Amino acid sequence: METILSGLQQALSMEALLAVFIGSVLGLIFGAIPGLTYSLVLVLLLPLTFAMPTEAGMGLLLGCYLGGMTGGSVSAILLGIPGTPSAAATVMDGYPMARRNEAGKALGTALFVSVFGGLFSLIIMVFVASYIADVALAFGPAEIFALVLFGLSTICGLSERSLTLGLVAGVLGLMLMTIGLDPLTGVQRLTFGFTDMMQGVNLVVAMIGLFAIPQLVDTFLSKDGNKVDLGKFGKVRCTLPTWQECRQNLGLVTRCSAMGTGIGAIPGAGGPIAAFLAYAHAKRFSKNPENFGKGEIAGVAAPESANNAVTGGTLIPLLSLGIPGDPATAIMLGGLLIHGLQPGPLLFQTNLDTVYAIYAMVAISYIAIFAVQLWGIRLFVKVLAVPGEYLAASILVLCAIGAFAIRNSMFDVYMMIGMGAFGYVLKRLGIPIAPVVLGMVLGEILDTNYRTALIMSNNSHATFFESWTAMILLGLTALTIITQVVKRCRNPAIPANDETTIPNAKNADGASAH
Amino acid sequence: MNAGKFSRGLGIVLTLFAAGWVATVLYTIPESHIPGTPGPRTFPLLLGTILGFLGLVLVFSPAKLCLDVPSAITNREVKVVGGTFLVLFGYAFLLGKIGFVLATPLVVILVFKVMMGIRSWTKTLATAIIIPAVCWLIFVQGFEANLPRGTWLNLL
Repeated sequence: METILSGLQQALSMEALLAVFIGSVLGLIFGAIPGLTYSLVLVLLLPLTFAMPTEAGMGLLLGCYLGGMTGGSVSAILLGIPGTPSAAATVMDGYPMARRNEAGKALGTALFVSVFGGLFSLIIMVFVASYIADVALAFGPAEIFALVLFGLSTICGLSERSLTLGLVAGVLGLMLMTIGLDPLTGVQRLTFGFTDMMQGVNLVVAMIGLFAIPQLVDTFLSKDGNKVDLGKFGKVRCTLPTWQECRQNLGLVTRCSAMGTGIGAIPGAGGPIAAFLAYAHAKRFSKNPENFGKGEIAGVAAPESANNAVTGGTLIPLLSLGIPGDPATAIMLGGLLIHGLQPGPLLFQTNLDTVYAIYAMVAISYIAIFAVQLWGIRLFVKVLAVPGEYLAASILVLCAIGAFAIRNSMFDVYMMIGMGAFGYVLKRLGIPIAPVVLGMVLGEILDTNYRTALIMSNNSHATFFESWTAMILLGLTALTIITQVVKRCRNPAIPANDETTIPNAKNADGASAH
Repeated sequence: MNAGKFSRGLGIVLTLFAAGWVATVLYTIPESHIPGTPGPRTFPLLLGTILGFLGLVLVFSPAKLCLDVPSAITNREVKVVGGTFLVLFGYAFLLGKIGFVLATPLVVILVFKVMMGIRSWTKTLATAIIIPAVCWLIFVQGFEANLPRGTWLNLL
């Protein structure tokens, strides 16, 4: 009880509340602006969290993540352009509703079910995460290696069109993390004698470069500077669903939220898949399936509840096992590491109050999102039309000082630019960026646990098959990869997540972030 | 360029990179000091081998890999991308020499005038003052973080 109160106290501190509110607003804005993403604002905010108390830093990042997921629906409904890939399914019925002057109703419904889905997944997360963490406490190096390998197999899901290129990206990410001092022996690896390189490639610096610089180049390349015509929606207002509409759709929204939470908990699956599956489910069980695509309210409620429920789902493996399921949670993992917190089973033993604070901040963030979007929608919609030149100049400056602020080192600024060039080349070649980040996040854990397991077993690879847990996890890894390979071999023209591809969906985070 | 040629080209580049990586690992990272156990070079070596294998997959089975051939690079793209990285390197250089306070307005003006083609000097100068001021307020006053100081000139 004391731990719960301590967690609540942390979450309800003035700094944390303010950080959650600011994060939620920034997430809503960046999630909604076509051409920008909440992953971008997450990486730009990350260096700022250094100087903050842990709970405030986490609140800022959580608010931004949750706000970004919700904000994507605004431009999906008003402009027919999903703010995030997760909001792509919302376009199908949200935009037709807006065109027949029901934008307020569509926005209000999307907001209401988003908050419902998010809070639903939070409740599931509270019950499930600690249980998984308890089980994971008994893991040794072999089990952790198998678990991380399973986490890495999600690269298949993040691989956009080509599985091979996704694997290439994952391996490149793993390679980057081998640069620097070897964590087990202290031997220099690929530093070429440079002192600055001994600390390796900083994860946050790399993420700023990989996500923000290609975005900056795109902003410079777009001739219209991301200009958006809001037209008649300048004075739109959110209209919440009526009690009767809530009762009619309660069953559907609950089922879709459960679906979203489950899909979110599978690393690499993410919001777009959950949203499209929920949309298909709503259409299949609707009494009026012919109305879908023409402005059916259930066509907005189902995907929005599912994609927001994904947020709680993705936080389950992140907190309980230390495995991020998508780039956004990978960035949040970076935030936790900055404050000396290692997500995973030990977090529930040593920092349980922080875990409770995170739960509370998720709830507070959804309250803030609800209030901001409900009452501030007009002001918020105006931000959608912010000219590209302001964004470009701000991104450029924030990238440089963000990278510098991490270790007060100009070397990191140059490293960030180098990583940006690397990210742009990858993007240009069609190699996804998300697996690079996943590889970087999980690389060191994979390396150290693989070697520790072998050292402890006198170099016997049989150690990986001695426990049921490791065997199940390795089996799941093999199953994930084989399923994806078979799926893509049967129909190579269709990417694994083809349902996430819609004609006017904006660039998916440069990396298909969710 | 068709998908086959693109796949082969990319595969060759990746295979060569992997070969270079493996050679560098073997040449620069020592073996484990405990004989018969994996050492610091094991993991990088394994990764180089996997990348080489993936490169060969791209070389030898290009037709089934469903690659999107990148669009041709236009002159405008070369100019913009080159310009962006010149600005970034220039900004990093200036940050180290004249510090954040002086370098940032210069770079904002460059971005507005050269990269984005904004004609209004009022808008440009106002942004060139506001962005560094806001950053200074947030980073230095708000979070007591350090901003880059110049070695030639420093106003912080």
